[in-house]
Amino acid sequence: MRQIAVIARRELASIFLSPIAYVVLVCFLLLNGISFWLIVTFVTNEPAMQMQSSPLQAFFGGTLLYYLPILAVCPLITMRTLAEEHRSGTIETLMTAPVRDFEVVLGKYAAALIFYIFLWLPTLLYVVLVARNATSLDWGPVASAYLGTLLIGVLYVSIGILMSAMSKNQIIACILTYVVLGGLFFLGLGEYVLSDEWWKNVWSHVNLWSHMEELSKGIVDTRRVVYYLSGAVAALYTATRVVEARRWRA
Amino acid sequence: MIEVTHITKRFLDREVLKDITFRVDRGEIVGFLGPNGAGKTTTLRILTGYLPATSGRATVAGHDVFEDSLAVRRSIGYLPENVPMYPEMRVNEFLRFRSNLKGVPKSERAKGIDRAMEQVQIGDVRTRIIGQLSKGYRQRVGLADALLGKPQILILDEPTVGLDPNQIRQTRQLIRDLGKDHTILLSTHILPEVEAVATRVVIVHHGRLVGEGRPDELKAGARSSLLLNVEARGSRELVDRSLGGLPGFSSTKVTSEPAADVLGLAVTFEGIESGVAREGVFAAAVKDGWVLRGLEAKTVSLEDVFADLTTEEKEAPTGEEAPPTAPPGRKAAPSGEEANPTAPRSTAVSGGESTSPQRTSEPSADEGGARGGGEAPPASKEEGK
Repeated sequence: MRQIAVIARRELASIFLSPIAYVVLVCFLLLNGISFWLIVTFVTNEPAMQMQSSPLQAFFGGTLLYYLPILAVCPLITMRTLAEEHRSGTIETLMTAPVRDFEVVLGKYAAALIFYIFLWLPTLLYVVLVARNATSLDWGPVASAYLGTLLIGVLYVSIGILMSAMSKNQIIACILTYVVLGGLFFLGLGEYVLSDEWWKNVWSHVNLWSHMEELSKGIVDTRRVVYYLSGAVAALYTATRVVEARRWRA
Repeated sequence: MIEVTHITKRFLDREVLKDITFRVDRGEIVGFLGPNGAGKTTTLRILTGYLPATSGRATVAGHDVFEDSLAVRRSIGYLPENVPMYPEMRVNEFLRFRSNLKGVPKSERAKGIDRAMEQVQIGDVRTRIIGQLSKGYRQRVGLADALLGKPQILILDEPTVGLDPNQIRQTRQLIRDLGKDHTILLSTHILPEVEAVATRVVIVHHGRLVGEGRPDELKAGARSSLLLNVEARGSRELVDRSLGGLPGFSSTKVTSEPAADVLGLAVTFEGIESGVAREGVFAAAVKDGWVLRGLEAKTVSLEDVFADLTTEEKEAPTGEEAPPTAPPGRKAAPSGEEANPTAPRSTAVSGGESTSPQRTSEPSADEGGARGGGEAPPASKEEGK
């Protein structure tokens, strides 16, 4: 446990020492800002909308503008983590120190997830803005919307770590992560498209959009929580085995 | 402290290590030698728990490297080849990170880092960014890292590669100092380095163990014949005939012709003591009327042993004038040769026996004060500087 913290701390420091972190931060804020501004403008101009949903509900998962930045940013956070250790050879010093493989993977994961959370912190300002100007704000759905956002990060970052574990090249790790995350997202949309009941059902369990629709309304379905958490555990377990296996092949 | 028994390592279809067995006892400094690609790094990686062996067993500090990898890793300090480090970190940050990772108790951390930095003399770059350090400093930061947590055993993979001659000498001195309270296994293909620091040597070639022992033991066992370098003025036939009559004479070969009428000869004797043979050469010159310009006994260096053990059989030791294909180790010779004032003369040597590189022992040969093979040259080399 202590080792995980040691590795996570170094990883975070190195994230914040790299220019990528700041580019990602600024771009992410910019995109979210545009998204929030569009939604607020739309809701004010269409009084009929105000009856159906609050701007925050629309902001968290109501439009594509919520998903695109997440999809874009997660691979960028995770691509370096293990791939760079393999490329530069530091994995050898790391793995010959008294640390277990899973501690390395979890340390990297924790750092990436903390950065993901850090990205979302400025959006709390939007909540403050809405709370000040709205007649009444229901805090439950806000909390569950953030829970949903966190759950998405928990799963997506773990997949990114897995892809980074498999590649020596961070660009390839990044592209692989895009493919898997994009694939999951698009397949989830199959819920809206397919007519076959069985498949519709399958994809509804994967569908980010419908999950967020529930969560932003304040509905916390344990099946969703279990899906994201178990997905992350599976990805991280696989990543640990990959790290281990790479040495057997090395 | 380190015990390797019948270790074999196979990568897909390539067998990198074949049945390697050796041990390192407490307090020893063991040099692990071999040409590039002989399997040195792989062996060290197995010992540090980074790679699993295909078969066989290895224990370090009493712990099995496979079963009890964490305990092994806690008892070693490892300097990998090429010294991989995080380029964006500062030296002190990096060492603090490594110290934490190795579980050094908080109370000893700062002191341990200071001590390690002092030992390798990197205090002046403690706040510099690693990516901007020179190779020599990076190497030393890596060494400081290996020293953190006071491990009983140090495993150093090519600790002096890429360093300049002064740094190499400093590093050797450091390794000798560290040898006082650490057990050290260091790999290298630079022979003077091993002769200078190692108490024992293990030689691998093509993944096989081909030699093991103290440097002087290996040198003593390497060659039974005696080799004299003779510089003579006189006709070839006369000198050959004259030497041919000496007791114990085995063969002679022209190695150079520095001037008209002057011959550089490599003369081998069998079953005769060096001093007797040299006196015989002198007497022969006097008796038959040719001029003896130089005479020296070729001392066997570890380099010769290395070449004997790791050069392919097809290069017969008593082959023709064809220059031997130098094993990789020989390229590294200059670091030791700088201390050897005979270098200018050795460049004149056009060929020679594949087992005896042109490095001669001492310049004092001109006065006939040649030395026998018994004494280990490294000490004199160090004095020469």
